[in-house]
Amino acid sequence: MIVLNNVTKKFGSTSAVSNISLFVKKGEFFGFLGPNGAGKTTTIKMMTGMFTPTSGTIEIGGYNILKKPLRAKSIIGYVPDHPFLYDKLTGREFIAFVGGLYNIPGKTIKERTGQIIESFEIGEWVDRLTEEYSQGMRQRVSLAAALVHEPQAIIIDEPLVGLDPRSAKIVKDVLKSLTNRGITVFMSTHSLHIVEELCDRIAIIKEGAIIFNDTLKKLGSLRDRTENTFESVFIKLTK
Amino acid sequence: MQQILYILKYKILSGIKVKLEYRWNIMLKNLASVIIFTGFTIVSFLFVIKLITYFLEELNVGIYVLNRFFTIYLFILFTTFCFANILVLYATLFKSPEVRFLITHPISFFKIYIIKFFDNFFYTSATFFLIGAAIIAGYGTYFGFSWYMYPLLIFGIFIPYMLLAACIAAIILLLGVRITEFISIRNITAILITAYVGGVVLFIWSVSPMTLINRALIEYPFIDNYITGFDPWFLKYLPGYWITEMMYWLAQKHHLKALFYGGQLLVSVGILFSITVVIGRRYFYSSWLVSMQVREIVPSARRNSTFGIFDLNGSSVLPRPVSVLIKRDVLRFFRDTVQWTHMTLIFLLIAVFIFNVAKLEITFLDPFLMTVLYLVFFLFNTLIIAGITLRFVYPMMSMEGEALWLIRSAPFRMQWIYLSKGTVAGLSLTGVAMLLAYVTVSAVFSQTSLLWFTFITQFLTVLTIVGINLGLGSCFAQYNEKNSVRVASSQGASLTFLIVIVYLLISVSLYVPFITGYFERLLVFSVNTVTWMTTPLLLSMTLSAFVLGISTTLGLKALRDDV
Repeated sequence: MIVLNNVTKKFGSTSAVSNISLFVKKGEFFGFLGPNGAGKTTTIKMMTGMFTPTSGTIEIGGYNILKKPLRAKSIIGYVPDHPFLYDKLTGREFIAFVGGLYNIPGKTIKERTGQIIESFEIGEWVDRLTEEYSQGMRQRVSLAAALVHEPQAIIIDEPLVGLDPRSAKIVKDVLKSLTNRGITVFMSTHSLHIVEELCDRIAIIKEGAIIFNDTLKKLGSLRDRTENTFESVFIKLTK
Repeated sequence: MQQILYILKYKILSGIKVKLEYRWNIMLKNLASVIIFTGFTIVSFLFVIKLITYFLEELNVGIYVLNRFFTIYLFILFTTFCFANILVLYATLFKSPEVRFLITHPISFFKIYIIKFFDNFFYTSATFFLIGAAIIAGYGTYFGFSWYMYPLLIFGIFIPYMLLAACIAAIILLLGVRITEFISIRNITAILITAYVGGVVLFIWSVSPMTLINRALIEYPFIDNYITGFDPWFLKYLPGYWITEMMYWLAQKHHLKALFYGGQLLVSVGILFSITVVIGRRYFYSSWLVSMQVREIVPSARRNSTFGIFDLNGSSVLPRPVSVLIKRDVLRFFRDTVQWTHMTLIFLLIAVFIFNVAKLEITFLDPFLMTVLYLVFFLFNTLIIAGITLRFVYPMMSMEGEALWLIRSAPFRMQWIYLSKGTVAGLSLTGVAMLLAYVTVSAVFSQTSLLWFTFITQFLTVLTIVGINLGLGSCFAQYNEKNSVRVASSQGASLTFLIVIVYLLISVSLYVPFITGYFERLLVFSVNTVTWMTTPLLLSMTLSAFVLGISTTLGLKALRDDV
């Protein structure tokens, strides 16, 4: 579903991402880990068309993001780490607006919004202006909006930052249910326990290069031989 | 004081780092800014000298009328600067994340207020300062002021003059916000708008340019008599009057009299600044708390308040992505108090202008004078459009805000967003431009062929001005600035406005020979044809296409750049 082939991104003479390759299968829950400044967000921005790779190719659902950007973007939903919403729109209007951007008919959006509101438990807030929302509510509404066009893959950057336990549980449950329905989830995160709980496969990026790309089981085997926890394995790998 | 200087040091440091970024496109933008700003100041300076020469040596209106024209101009500049300061200072003091940050630290509220007051003053004053400096330098050069008078007048008189406006703005704002506890913010806004429009209208009505000329003609041929006895009583209390009087007496080499008016201004600045400081010390924090409270209350009251034609799920003849973009922009516009109040204010001023122009009865038999009159109206109308465009169109891309990720990650061509914004703005402004063209041309010139020529050229001008603003608004987009007023008063916005002025001056200079030829044929030979329009229209189209092409290319490129 998502293929990155020898992707490099340079800013001036600095390489933020160096020659990385990733392959994420349909319906897979893929965790993308790395310390701060390792290149996670840059990679995600290239996958969503906000950065142009200096070299290499990115394909989403078989479509090259540079050559067929509209096709590629139409099958993904993206939620950034700090999802800014339009202050003067309500949550419902925001969801409708995003649906409109993906050319979904208004009637369909209305139907889907009802289901989404229920799964994200945002009924009480959805008709208020988003400027009143807490961080958790903003995160839930932007994830809800990213799902309104029923994407084949979700790319989500640090989804649980600043969320209270209830919001975090809702987001985790929704993400897990997506992969059960065959939707691919590409999640960037720092939280190792989340990775452990949700991901089928992970990649670890350090200083712009992939240093680990395999299943959780494989990472677990590293843990058995060297350290006791995922955390200590991660720290050792990214040292 | 030490703490204020400490904070200022870091603010300046961060400012310098932004300015000194070595990326070539940033350097190019900065270089272009310097060239345009310098060019604008020089052109304005030369224009002021030409204008004075024309008024005094060709029209022979006399120095009294000339000075009163400057008084009128300075009054409009003063009130506009004051009003702009109220709006920008509101954003700076009450909506800025920096204030929220500073307020949670052990810094006195008064110090925060002083820092933000000056921050705002310098932020908003660049263009006004250049205009003022050009006027003073032009006036001084014509009347042969000594070299040391220029820095003295510009820094010792004109900057205090602007500071006076900023002080009045701060006092009005703090007291205005303070009383929102008792009177709704809408009513306060309505009162402010009424006061501003009423003040400008009353002033122009009392010091009408036509009345001034008629009064001066009574003195003919002694047109240089300084007939201040005709001045309305309130004029001598206005700071713009003090400046023009000071300049007049300096030109007459009566330095003591000049000092008297300069002194009045400086004493007033001292008093007003002290009042600003006292009011700031007393009311800033309480006003800030009130503003926070008001902001908390207002949004909740808006639940479920909009649907109908702006229903984002509703049907539309436009493609869905375009229709939701337009509807979203409209919803956000009308839910933002600052946006709709500004629009109301501007339309009120336009209504006042139209009402006054419709009553005008001017006829010259001289083709050159008719050409000047036509071009003055043309420039005035287009400047109104340029002002509205700068205020509402320039910030459009910045107002996408940090939610730009949404558009960039959607299956959406950036041309669509660009076109949808441009079309909505272009159509709305074309309506205003056509109305202005109709009123001015049919009221003063009553010629159908000229009216059609004006319609077409105004349409092309609107398209080009919108194109420049949208293009450069994308190039200089400030996605982290939520306040459209601050975006519209940024350095990029000033640069854009100056480019628009250069474009307008080129357009007008292209029309001059053709319009003069038209009036010559009409007034001298009584021939009224339409064939004369072909060449200026072709030139206008070529110029518009060229400027529009460049600005759109730059804008679209900026939107496709890494974000």
